[in-house]
Amino acid sequence: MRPWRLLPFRACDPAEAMAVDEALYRLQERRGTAPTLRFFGWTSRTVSVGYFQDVRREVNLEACRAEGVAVVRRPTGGKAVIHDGDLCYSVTGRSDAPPFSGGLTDTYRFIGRCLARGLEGLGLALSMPGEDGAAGEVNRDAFCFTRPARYELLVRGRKICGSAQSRSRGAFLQQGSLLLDFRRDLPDRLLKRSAPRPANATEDPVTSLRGEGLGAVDAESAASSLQAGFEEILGVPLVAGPLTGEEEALARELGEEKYGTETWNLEGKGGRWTFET
Amino acid sequence: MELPAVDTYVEQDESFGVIESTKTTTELISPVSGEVVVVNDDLADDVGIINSDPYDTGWMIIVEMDDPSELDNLLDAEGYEDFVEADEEAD
Repeated sequence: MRPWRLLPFRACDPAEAMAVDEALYRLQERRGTAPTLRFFGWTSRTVSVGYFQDVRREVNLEACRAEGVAVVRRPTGGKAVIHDGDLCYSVTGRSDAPPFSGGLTDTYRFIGRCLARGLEGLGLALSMPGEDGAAGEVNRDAFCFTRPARYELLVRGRKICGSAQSRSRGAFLQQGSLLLDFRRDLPDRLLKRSAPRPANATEDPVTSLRGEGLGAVDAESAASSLQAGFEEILGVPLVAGPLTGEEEALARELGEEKYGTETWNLEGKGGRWTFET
Repeated sequence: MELPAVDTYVEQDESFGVIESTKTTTELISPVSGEVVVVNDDLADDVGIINSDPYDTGWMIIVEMDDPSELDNLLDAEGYEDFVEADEEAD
């Protein structure tokens, strides 16, 4: 199996956060670069929406503007995530090369196991729909964390980590968000078509590290635990390495021409990137 | 899903659109090169026909081919079924 690269935790602005992930994915697709685990955070509160989400129907843009909350559209599918006290990860690789074996579910399952092992290192007991007899659920809500899909992570039946993918020609990008904290007032305020939160926090289908008594764990510590989970399941240490020059250049281009524009972030136009080779 | 407009030029092995299922966006790769002459507007109402009726009403685009010999690079229905079965076994 090829060695994996680690891109250590770094806080990014919204356009850069997504542009780096797409650059990793596109160069994985075209150049077959090393499988990569990346950790990142956000320099300001941001709502990220899925590739096909209708921002005007599902995000309260007036509230976001009033509160200075950025909106960025992801290259991956799924529903809206509010980045405020979360740790994001991405995995880019080839689904047809070890440790993966081709199928879509296989990649979600493998990465889910790595994440679960990492969180177990913090003392949490995790469950994953799909692996524990429970089925995943279809989420018709605007908010990602309202329902768990297969191989997403639950603690005491409540979702703590959500994930989504993009795939092309054997390459894939999986992005995910682990909640370090969960501000229960934010989905109602920043999203539309998001189910009202239960009055009692103990009935909320969402939890976080803080909600599980791990409020002292910051993003970098959580990233270290997740990294350990990947290393244990993969059986090899991850090698910290920078972006290649080509990845940096493509990320800069995507940041300026796609993820920094309202055409993509709000209108959802111009999603497919034409590669000049 | 996202499909190209009529008159768009598509290339064999290059992306011509995107579809989302189970929180995953997947690029649609063109099997041939040429100009898109018709787009199936029925998919806007019910994308599920791609699964339920792929060989009849569930088509996506009609392409006026540049080079019919590109068809030699493609799988036939039986070969594609084998490919899908191998993918399902991997899951």
